Amino acid sequence: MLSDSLLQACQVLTLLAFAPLVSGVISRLEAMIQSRHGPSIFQPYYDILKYFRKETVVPEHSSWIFRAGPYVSFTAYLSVALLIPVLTNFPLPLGYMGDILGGAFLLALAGFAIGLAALDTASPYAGLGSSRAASFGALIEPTLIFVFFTTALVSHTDNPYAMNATLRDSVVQVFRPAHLLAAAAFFLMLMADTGRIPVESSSSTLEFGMIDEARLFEYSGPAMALLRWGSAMKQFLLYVLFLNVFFFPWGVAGNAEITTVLISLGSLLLKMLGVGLVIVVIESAFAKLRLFKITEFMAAGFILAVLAVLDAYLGGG
Amino acid sequence: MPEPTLDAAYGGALAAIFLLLQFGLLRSPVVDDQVKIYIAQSLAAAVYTAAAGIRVGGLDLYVLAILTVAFKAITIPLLLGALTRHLDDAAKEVPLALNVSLTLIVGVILTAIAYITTTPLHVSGVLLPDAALAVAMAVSLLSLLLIATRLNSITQFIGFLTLDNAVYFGTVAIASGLPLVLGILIFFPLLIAVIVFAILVRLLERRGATLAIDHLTDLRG
Amino acid sequence: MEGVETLSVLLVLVVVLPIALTLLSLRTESPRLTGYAGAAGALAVFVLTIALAVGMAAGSPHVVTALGGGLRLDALGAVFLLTVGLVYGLTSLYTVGYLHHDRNLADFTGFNRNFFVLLHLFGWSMLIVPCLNNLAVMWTAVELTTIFSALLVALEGTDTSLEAAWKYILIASAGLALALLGIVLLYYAGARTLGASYQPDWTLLLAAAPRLSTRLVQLAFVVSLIGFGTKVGIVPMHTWLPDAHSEGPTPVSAMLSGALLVDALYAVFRVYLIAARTGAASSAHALLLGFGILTLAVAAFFVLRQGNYKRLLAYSSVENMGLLTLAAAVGGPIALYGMLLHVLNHAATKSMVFFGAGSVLQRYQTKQIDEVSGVIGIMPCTGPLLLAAVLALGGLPPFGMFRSELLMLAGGFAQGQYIPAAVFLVFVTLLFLGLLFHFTRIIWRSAPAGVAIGDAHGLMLAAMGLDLIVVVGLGLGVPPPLNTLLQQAAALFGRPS
Repeated sequence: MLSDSLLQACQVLTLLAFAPLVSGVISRLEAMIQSRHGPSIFQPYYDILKYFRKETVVPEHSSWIFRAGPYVSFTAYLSVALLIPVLTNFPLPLGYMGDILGGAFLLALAGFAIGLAALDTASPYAGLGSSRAASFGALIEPTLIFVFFTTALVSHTDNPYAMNATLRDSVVQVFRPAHLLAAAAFFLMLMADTGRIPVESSSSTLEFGMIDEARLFEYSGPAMALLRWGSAMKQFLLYVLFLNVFFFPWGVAGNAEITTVLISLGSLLLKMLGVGLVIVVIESAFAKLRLFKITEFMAAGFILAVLAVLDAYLGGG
Repeated sequence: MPEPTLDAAYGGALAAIFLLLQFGLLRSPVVDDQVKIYIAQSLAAAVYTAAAGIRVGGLDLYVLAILTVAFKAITIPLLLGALTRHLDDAAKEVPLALNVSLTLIVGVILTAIAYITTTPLHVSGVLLPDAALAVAMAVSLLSLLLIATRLNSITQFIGFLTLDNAVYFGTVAIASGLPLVLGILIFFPLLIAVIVFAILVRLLERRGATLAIDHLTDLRG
Repeated sequence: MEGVETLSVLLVLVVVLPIALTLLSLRTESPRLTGYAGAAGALAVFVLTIALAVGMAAGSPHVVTALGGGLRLDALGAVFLLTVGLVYGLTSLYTVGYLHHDRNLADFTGFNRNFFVLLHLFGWSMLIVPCLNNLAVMWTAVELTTIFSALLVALEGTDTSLEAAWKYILIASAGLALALLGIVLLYYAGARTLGASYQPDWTLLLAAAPRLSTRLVQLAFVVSLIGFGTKVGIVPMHTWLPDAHSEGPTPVSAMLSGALLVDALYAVFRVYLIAARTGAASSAHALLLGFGILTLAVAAFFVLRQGNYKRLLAYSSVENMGLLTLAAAVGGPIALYGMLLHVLNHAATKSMVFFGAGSVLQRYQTKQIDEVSGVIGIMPCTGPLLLAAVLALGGLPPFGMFRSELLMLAGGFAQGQYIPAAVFLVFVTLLFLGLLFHFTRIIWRSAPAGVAIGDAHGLMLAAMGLDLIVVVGLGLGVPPPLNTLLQQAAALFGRPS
């Protein structure tokens, strides 16, 4: 029987430990689908360790904002892990610190810090990435808000744990049209936020298409390690949100026994594998959208989200 | 929000697919894609009719579902295909009076208007206890938007066909005891399609392989 | 009662005869036979509709039914049936003369046959609309009118006529799809009272009207008004009208403007009569008023600035539909009587003007006002007839439209609706100005070079002459049977029956 605080610490540790693994597995899957051998699934760990050993070079005109950015974002990601149902479906002590909107704010804070830091470098590529990320972020946020509204309307609460509970209660809740639309909208935004095709190419660094990658251009050494780790953690967190709050809320630990927690961890990783597989198939099947066409992609997500709200609020769906 | 019954979940999912296909039509830039989306939408309407038949009982709706597939999902697309074969690739592009993103946003606003005006009427339909009329009205408004903002004759005709689909969907939902009307809604677009085919083919033969409406501007004022 | 049975037989004859004429036109090889038989048959149908009208007016307000209730004609239907019969009969007569002009074209027999077959089918579809009780079947009849008339508009096969036919069929069918949605909504509203599976008969719905949900009926009326209003030519759904009415062959334009528009208006009225008995009455009334005024304003603007005389006449039709809608909204026995009389007057007058315009078109080969002049000199019989027709259309006494417009205006004042009456007056005056301004340029001044003197075919003149008789007759005085019929029809708008 584990104590709640220990469980909460485990959630954060899970995030720290397994986020790069998820990244690695997805890269490997992608390579397999493309008939290549691909990197080892532990490659992201090796990369992070490598960065920690490198020296730091800082642009001449940068200020403390540049140096603080990676730390702010890393901490923000760790804090989000306290709020969402990663391993358990009952709220843990610090889980009441924030609801799902709080989680969204923290993720936005992380992005904001990195974006600001990128501008601080006075480098054109970093600034380019920053402005693109900010404008697409402005399109992603309303959609996410509508998605959260929908699930809140359905489960009468803003708390991610409670949302999880509502969905687990009956399968029908998952298949109600408003919920499906919201899940679809969230999935589209997920692809956009984690930098996957059709929004951004995750395997190359072409300046024409870079959005998030470009913001990290000027970093090196341990700061870069934190940033790489951070982006893997962001991906992990978004997947957790998608799975445990929207799509597949089962398999999460109901009590504090060690065995159930370990099973919960295993099922979480399996579910992530599933999502990763879908993402990889989409990446391999579609081409990257032109930058100007990305707004259409965002509009599609927005429409799904608005329809979800309309259906939930007015359509009884 | 009360938990929906399984019926309402099915019906709602079908209605959502029906509506989303209409949005897909609004953003589609090429006539061939639009025909495919129309086929998908007709199939969704047919599935809904069959599901309603299971709920309501009686043979009428099953027969109508089969007729829908036969005429709306097969015959009319064949006619449209025969028409588009006369066009070259450039003519299959759809000139826009309003760009895609703006059209989609106007579409969302129209959908919201449809929902807001029809929900207080508490019209309950088969498998759709709340949103039957809303979906029909929304898709009707969106097809009128398509006709108004796309400058290609075939696209405008597909807009009319989806309007008919919307009225059909609404009728199955709220007036399934009127098989006559449902039958009319299946045959009448076919009849119109045949006539339109005859008219447009003659026009095409005379004017060369384009049906863009911006060429049909002789009559004005 | 034997009287009622005779009327039932007459009603069935009216419905069957055009089909017989269609089959005759399909089978005969001789264009002359097709033409003369077709014209004679259509005129016979007209006479039958007169007989029906007189017969119905003879007794107490009663309803003629036939075919086991499948056909049902009441006073309102009889007025519209009479109108359609008039236009159908006279247009068929005119068509014989009109097509005579093309008799030397290649494949004239085929063209002639197609024309008459479609003409009879078109006439048939318009004739059955006022006779149907079941709203869904009535809708089908209106849709059939769209199909047959679109084929007629496209018949001559020119680029512009094909474009006009395409636009017509697209917009009109889209509107009718909406109208069907309106009927379905009305059915649903009735289902709560009448049971889940009943026939959407107008009489049933009218009887159940006070128990129908107000909001549902409001929505149903809005959708039906927009839907059927597309075929009436109410602004802003009228965009197909100037093209279709000006690009089709002239006889078709006459039938479209004279009969089809009011047939669609009849459908609007049927739904309006139901809505007027529910809580939705005031919103329905306001909608009719708003659309009527909008239609008048837009049409008047376009009448003033036109270069093509057939389009001018088409916009004048739109204007008159606005007048009718406005008068229906104003209500009251006087205005409604005037409106129904105007339906007849407009049919006779508009067809007469179109007949004249068609004769002019055949001689001058152009539709542009600037290129036509001196008709009075070039065409000694058509000229004065056309002049009379234009004056009649403008609303001058002693022609019929003066009487009906005056009645509508008086009705407006009697109901205390001063603003609609004022709007009415302004736009009727503008219409008069526009018509006269453009047509005097056509009728007078010297003729352009290269136009031979000569007149239209005798039958075309005969058709115009018959129209003139009707127009002057209705202007000098309304015959008593018609008077009674109009009063009975107007009464249907008022008290619950």
